Amino acid sequence: MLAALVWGSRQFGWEIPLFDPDKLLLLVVLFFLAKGLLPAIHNENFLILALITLFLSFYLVPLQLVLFFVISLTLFRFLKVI
Amino acid sequence: MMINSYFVKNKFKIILATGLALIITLLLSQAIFWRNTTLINPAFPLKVQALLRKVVGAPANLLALLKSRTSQEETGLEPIDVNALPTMTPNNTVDPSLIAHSTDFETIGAGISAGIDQNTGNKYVKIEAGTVVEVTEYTLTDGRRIKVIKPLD
Repeated sequence: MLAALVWGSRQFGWEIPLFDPDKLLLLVVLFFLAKGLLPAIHNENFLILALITLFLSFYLVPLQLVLFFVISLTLFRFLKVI
Repeated sequence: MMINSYFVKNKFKIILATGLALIITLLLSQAIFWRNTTLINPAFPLKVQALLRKVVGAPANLLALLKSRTSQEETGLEPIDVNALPTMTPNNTVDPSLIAHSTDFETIGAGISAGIDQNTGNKYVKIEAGTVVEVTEYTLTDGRRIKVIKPLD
């Protein structure tokens, strides 16, 4: 649904308050990829990371968001969170 | 209850991981990329090259250091004994306050400054209290004798 909302905002020019549609589209793609690779047992941790990344999109540029997400997942793996 | 305990168990790790990730992200993006673009910062490859050169050249530098120590012993040069250096006595015939008023001193070394009196043309060297200096006297080819003051750290 979120992905559809982001797609609609880009396609039809809908405005999403506070969020940048380009960043949101990037995050949606990242979340889909990560969720597809993670088993369901790690859903809570993934949701926390997704929310943190979502709110960091207020401050970080797209490149930094990608870096943050990938590094976080790597650290989660090293710390045996996932 | 199970979800709650699971979350509490991993809460610290999640906070640690995300915090570390944020710090690493900001440091990496500043170092590698040019501002907020995907362009590589031109200084980054140079930094990596310098680091590699330093790491690779470390053994060679160590060898050179050891070699210089050995050659120093062979030539018989002794390290400078600070206690044996001549001590300087201030010139009491000149009122320091007069020098300070009419002379603009310029720092030429750690704790050492030099200046020329605008009124008389006299040259002064001011050495701050506690500064250890080595004074060496040289004779130039035209016969003049000069004193070289070198601060010792």
